[in-house]
Amino acid sequence: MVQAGPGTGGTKSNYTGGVEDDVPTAPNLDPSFQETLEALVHKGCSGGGQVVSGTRERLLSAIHMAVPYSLIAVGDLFTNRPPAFRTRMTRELSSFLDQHVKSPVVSTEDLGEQLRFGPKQGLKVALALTAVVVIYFLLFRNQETILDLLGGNYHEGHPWVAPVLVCFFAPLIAGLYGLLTGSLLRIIKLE
Amino acid sequence: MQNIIGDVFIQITWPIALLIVLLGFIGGVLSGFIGSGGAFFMTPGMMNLGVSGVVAVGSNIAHKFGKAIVGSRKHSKMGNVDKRLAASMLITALLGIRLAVWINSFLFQGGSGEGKGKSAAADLYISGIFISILTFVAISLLRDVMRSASDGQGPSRRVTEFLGRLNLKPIIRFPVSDVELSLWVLLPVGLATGYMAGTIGVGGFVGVPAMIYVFGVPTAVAAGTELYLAIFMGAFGALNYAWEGYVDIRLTLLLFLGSLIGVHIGAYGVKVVSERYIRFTTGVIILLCVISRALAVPVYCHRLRWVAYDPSWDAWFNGLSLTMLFASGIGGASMILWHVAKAHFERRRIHSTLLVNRSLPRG
Repeated sequence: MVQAGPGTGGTKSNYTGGVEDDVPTAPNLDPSFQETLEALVHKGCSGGGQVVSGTRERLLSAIHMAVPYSLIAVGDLFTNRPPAFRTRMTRELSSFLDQHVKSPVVSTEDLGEQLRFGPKQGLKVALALTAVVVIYFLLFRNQETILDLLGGNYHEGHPWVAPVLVCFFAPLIAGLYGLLTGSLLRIIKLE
Repeated sequence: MQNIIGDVFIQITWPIALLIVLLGFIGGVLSGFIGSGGAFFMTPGMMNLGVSGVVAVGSNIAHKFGKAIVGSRKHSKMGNVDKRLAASMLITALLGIRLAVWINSFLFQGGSGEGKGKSAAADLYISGIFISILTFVAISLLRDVMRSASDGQGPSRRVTEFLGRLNLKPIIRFPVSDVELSLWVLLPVGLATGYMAGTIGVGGFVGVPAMIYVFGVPTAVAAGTELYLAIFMGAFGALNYAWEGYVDIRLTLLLFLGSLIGVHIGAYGVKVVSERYIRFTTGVIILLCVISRALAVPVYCHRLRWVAYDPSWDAWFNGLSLTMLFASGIGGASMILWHVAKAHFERRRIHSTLLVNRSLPRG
């Protein structure tokens, strides 16, 4: 486990007036990092970590290339910077790690969503599946009516109905069916 | 009902429905793999199945609208979306879409005759734009593959640097992409992107290369921003086409059935295939799609009575065009699926080995 120090990612360190330490002093582990290590020990897993200060190249040099890491999780970085800068620097760091380390790189937010598939997600998928089946069934059972609304006689008198229908159903189905396919591929670990 | 089906919409039988789902799946695989919307395959595919060009474009834009909402969330999380850049391009992109819808609708409504004869002018126009733009895209991609093989450099920045030297004010800064751009460069690119999205549904083939080569935006950000832009362009295009009565929601929903599975598989393929190979495959598939569309052109010319030949030839031209399109799509998608399956089973094999090793008692 490697924790990036405050200067990671190419951000400029504070002006020292030319007085530099020979060996950079590592700051203490933060409480959440300590808690993670304790949780690992509690579960009977080994864990360890180090704090790296400096550029992203220094971060890379702290990673042991011989170790087959399963995953690299990128958390909240550059938090004291403006949002646009934070977005760009986090993206560049993720892309840099992705190119240099042979392990998948994901954000911690993504990690939480992707790896948890419990009863709550199961219920969501079941509801989405039901909704999709009902919508497709109703649509194809009532094709004549739907086509009349979209481009028939009714449409000539009420042209606004078609845009409302399309702009409601297209994203709705994409969202519901997208949730289903995403979950299915996650279950078979194809993502 | 019969009139609506004959003039604007098609009768969807089970085989047609399955073919549309297949079109969606192949389009989705190619789209996830290439990073474009996949309309270059789905729109002509629907036209080959008898859907009029304007309805094929309208239904596909509605499909793109929904798919872009799902896809851009992922890009957004990865920091690949420059919302400020997308908003700046959107102003003229919407104008471009409106212009495209107006031209397509005008050609469709101005067509003489009934059923397919009525849509011939619009179909020919859509096919003409499709062939010109995609030929350019395919040749550029293949040239790029040949060039990158010899010099191994990234995208050229010559145009970006030239435009930067002109210093055309007002200049806008985009911190996420880390570029500064003149408004006078942004506006025409937005217009062209919107026009292409509205005409044939492939705005990304203009927008993404323009962002990379003209604006100097990183490739990942260009793809993410285009997808974000596609939400609004898709919504506006779908609204416009639906208002004119040219969106067949049945086609949109059938496309979703295939494409939302395919797009995940295609995206997985990107991780296991080299970038040069991706570009080469994309170039070849697009070129084959162009040839397939060109084979359908004589049919529209015949319906417009610009050329005269035995009407039975129409079936041959259409059949050849359809076969060529599906052959290129199925060939490309199969190649991607093969790589994906190989990588997936290899990963599972390594994973199972690790699990076995972990479960062994330690000495």
